Order: sequence, then C-alpha cells, then structure tokens
Amino acid sequence: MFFKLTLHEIKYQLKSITPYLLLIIIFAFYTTQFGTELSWLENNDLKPLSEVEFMYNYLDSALQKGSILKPDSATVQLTAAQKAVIENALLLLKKFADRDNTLSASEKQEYYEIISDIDFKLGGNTYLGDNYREQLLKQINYGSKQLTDKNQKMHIMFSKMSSDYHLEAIITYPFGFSKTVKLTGERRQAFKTAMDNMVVNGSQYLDTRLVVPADLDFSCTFEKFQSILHQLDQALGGGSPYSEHLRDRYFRVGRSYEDALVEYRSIVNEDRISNAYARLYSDYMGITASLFPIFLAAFVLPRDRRFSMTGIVNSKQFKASFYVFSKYLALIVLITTSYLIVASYATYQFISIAQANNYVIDNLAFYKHTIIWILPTIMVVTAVGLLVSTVFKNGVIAIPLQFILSFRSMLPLSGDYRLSKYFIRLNKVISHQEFQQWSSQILTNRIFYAVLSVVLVTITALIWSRNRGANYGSPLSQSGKV
Amino acid sequence: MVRHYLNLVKYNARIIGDLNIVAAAAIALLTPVVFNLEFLNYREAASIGEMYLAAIGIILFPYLVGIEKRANVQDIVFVKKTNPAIILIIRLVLAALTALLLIGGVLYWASLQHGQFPFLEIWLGTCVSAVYLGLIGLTIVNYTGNIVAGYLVAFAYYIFEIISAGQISQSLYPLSLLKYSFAEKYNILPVLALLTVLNLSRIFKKK
Repeated sequence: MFFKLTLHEIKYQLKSITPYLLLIIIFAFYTTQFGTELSWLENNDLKPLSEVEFMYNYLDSALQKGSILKPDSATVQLTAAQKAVIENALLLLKKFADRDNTLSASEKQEYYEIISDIDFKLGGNTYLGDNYREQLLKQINYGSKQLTDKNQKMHIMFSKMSSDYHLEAIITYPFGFSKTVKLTGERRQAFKTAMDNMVVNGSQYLDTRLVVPADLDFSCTFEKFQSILHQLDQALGGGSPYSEHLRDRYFRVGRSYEDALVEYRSIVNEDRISNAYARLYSDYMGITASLFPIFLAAFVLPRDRRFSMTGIVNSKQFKASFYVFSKYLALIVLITTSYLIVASYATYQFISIAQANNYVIDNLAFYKHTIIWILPTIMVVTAVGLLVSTVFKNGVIAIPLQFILSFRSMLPLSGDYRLSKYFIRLNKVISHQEFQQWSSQILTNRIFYAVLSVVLVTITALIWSRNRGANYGSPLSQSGKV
Repeated sequence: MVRHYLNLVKYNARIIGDLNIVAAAAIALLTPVVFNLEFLNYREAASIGEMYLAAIGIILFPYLVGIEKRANVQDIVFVKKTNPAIILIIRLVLAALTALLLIGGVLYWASLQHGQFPFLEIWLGTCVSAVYLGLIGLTIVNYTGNIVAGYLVAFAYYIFEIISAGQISQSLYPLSLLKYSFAEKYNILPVLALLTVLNLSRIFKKK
C-alpha cells in the first residue's frame, strides 16, 4: 500500500509541469553559478605557478610580443640580440620550470643570476632587476590560509577593536541579514571593557595617536580572550565581527608557493580533484535546495482540500502515517532525481575536462556529495513544507517562512556548520586536508537534519491524522484509521 | 452601474483576503525583527526593500487568477455577464494597493527611525519590483493553470536576479535600487503593462 501510494504521487507529479520546471531552474543555477567555475578549470592549470615558472612565462610572452614593458610604463622593442638573450635564458630556466619541487640554495642562486643577467642585457631597470622584481611577483596569487598563531589572532582582534570603537556604527549579521548597529555609549563602554580585560590598561590604545605595538603583552589566556569576545559580541547584539563564526575571516594570511603546492597535491591525490569541486557544487546546489523544494512540498497535502478530495481520502482505509510518508517519499525521490540528473551532467563535464588535461578523478564525487550534502537539505525543506501546510491547511505560509530561513543560513560563505544552519555553505575549492577541520561538523549537521526531517514528517502525520478524525468525529479516527 | 462595480470591489476584497494577505503581512511585520530599521541609509533601505520586501508581490499576485478554480465556480463565473477581465483588474488593483500599503508602512516606519534615505524613491521602486515579480508569477499561473509553477518561477527569477546582480537583465534589472539607480524602474513599466495586457487577453479568451 505504502509504495503504491508513493508511486501514485510520483506519477501525479510527473503529469504536472512543476518537477520539470524545478529541473530547469536547478540546471539554470548550475550553468550560471557552478558552470563558470568549471570553465575556469578548463582554461587553467590547477598546479600553482612557481616563481621560476612565472618568470619563464613572462619572458616567453615578451619574446612572442617582441617587446617588454618597463616599470616606468615605457615599452621597449626587443632587438634581435636581446631576443637571442631571452631565448637562451628560457633554455636555462626550462630545467627549473619543469620541476615539481622547490629549488635548492645553489639552484636559486643560479636562477637569480640568469634573471639579473637578462635585466642587464636589456639595459637595466626592467621588472627582472632586484629593484622591481618583487613588484612583478605580486601578480602571483597563492590565495590565503587560516592563521594558527593564537597571539597573532589576539593582536588582530585587539587592533580591530581600537579602530572599530571610533566608528559611528558597525555591520552585524544577527539573523543572516546585515544590520547596522549604532555604537551607543553603552556599546563603546563594552569595547573599553573588552580591551582592558585583554591588556592591562588596554583602552589607552583608543587614543588614535597611539599605535598598537606588534609585541603587545596580553594579560589573558586564549580561552579568556574567546570569552571576552563573546561578551563583546553579545553587547553588540550578536552576529558582530567578534562573534565566534565571523571573526575567522580576519584570521587569514597569504599563502606561500610551498603552501599552495601542498594544497594542490592534496586536491590531486586525496580529493582526486572532483571531490574538491563537488564540495563547491554542493554549495551552489545547496542554495537551490534550501528554497525551491518548498514549492512542491507545501502544496501537496492542501491539494486534497483544494480539489475537495478530503472526504474521499479520509474515508480510505490506510494509516495517516502511510499517507503522509508516501507523499514525502515521492517528493524526495522526485526532487533528488532532479539533482542527480544535474550531478550526472556535472560528472560528464568533469570527465571531459579530466580527459583533456590528464587528470585522475573520482567519477562518483558529484553523486556522493548530492546524497550526503544536498539530500538532507531537500529532506528538511520538504518536511517543513508538509508540516506548515498541514498546520495552516494552506501552502502559501510556508513560502515566506522558508524564504526567511534560507536567508538566515546563507552567510557566512564557509566555516559555520552549527545545527542552526540547515544547508552547507562552502563557497571555495579547498583541499581535502583543509576540509578535514570541518568534515565531522558537517557530517553531524547533515545527520541531524536527516533525523529532524523524519521527526517533522511524523509530527505532520499526527496532525494530519487528528485533522482527519476531526472531520469525522469518529473514535476510531484517533488510532489514525477510519 | 457604479453600485454594481462597488459591490464587485467589496466582494473581491473579501475573497482575496486569504492566507496570502496574512503571509504578505507577516513578511512586512517581521521586518523590524529581521533587520535593524534605525538610521538606514540609501543602500540599506534599498537592500531591505529589494531583497526582502519585494517578495510580498510574489505572495500577493499569482493566486489572483485561480480563485474561481479553487472554489469550483469557474464554469459559473465565466458565463456571467460581468467580464472576468474586469474582475482581474479589480483584484490586481487591490493587490497592488495592499503591496503599496505593506511596503510603504515598513519603509515609513524606517524613515521615522532617523532614516536617511529618499522615502518616495525607495517605496515606489520597491513596489515596482514587487508588482513586476508578482505579475510574472500571475502570468505563469494564468497560462499553465498551475499555482505552484507561478510561485516557483517568480521566486527562482527573484533569487536569480539577487545572485546575478542584473548581469543578464541589464536595463530591465528589477532590483536596480541596489545599484542606486531608478532608471530601470521606468523601463519595467512598459513590461508591466504588457504583462497585464497578456493576462487580461488570456482571461478574455477563456470567457
């Protein structure tokens, strides 16, 4: 009976336009959001460029163009002799550029000699010379990494307090939406107290003439520092830059080539590339799953009422839980299938990229992440839709509710996986190694929402059963059977 | 004649006063809970208007063409002397007025909280977005006969515009206040008129 009801609902839904619209919408989000990330991967090598490789490409490009740009913005046309010098240098650099590890001290020395020699032969004062080389190398971006030094973290927050204190207002995110919080006298006092609790007479640094020294002597432990920030955050109404989950964004430092290489190796060897991208895919697709399933779920149970079928449905001999859970399962199957179709397309695209670039990938990555990351979101949104529509006997109330809930979980873009967040945000490609810091939190979150959704559907079945009994006033109806 | 139309307005005001109005009012009433409405500048008021209050239109409009179907009186209504297109116009005006009131109420409250934004521009701009999004949903419902499709497409379009920040819609970007621009609102007005005509002609054909 249960599976018959489920199949019946699936067939009914498939006759309507909505599941196809949902698929089109998910696909549109995939192409416009995640698709751009894939096209980046198609056109760029994942491996970070070393300084030597960057220099090699720079010189190669100059040779192709027949000119080189100087720091004073003058373009120098290369003579035949200068071109020959560059060609020779490229041959010498080639042995270093093809390497997958860092250079030894003697190799570095040799590399700098080659670069300086070209600078000299090009008439000096080029970007290759000692004076301007750093300026050129700033073009290489290895991204950022999380700061681990506790003292540095305390210093960053202390300095931020000393500057934020002088602002008229600060931006906070107490409900996921931005709020401008005016700094009243009471709130400014909270800043002073926090600074004094961190450093003896710390509030003296509120004097703008005083610079916070780099070797500031903190009078509190790191644990105490966290509690001080928590108190300050509470005084600011919560969701401030000092809150546990938002302050991490200030603890980022630039990565070195070596760091980037470690990440690259982790993505290639441990994630087999596609798992790292499947996490980003789940982030984008999770946004759609956090909202759109509500439109299918919220109108399923009120449909009987809308088409005056309540009498017929209520008089049928099946358990209320069978009826509600069969509808729920039908929706989950339909919606998840849409996501699996898009996951198949992502896998197909990824296999093409992998073949073109000789990458070894995990062909099941997008499917695995759809099931583990996206399915619990679909489950809970669908459950909320069924519950709210049963309580109000109308689906429309669930829409604004879900809209607000979705926005509430939208920020931050990564790092906050508390149980109050019902979908997962991880809006960047990170290595397996970096991901490990959050993997258990994310898993707990997903299990919690999968279980919660079953609880919500059970409650829905109970309410539906009660409504069914109320319609008929039969004592039998209390058992859920009529 | 005037009494006839007044009665129509009264009757339609009563039957469209469904949970949709409650849901739209809930969005408006929850605004001070979700946002801090004190000392709003242009950008902040525009964000609240365009990224939150404009959703009121999606709640208020799409179901306006399905009321007869829901009450199983479509066949009776469509053979009556009064043109259903006129009924739709009455409902559209009533829904637009509700949106104006709800959005205006919240923004006026914000302007009283030391707001530093041009009230009229933000109010009317947000209302244009709300009506535009609502009419998109209504058009889908009118042409597919599926209320869920109406809500789904309108919301998906709304979220798409929020995320893409008008990169595709360009001069028809409905949330243009986020870019400190009102010009797009004027461009949307003919589209609103076109959508209204499309819906009315569809209803007229049904009769």
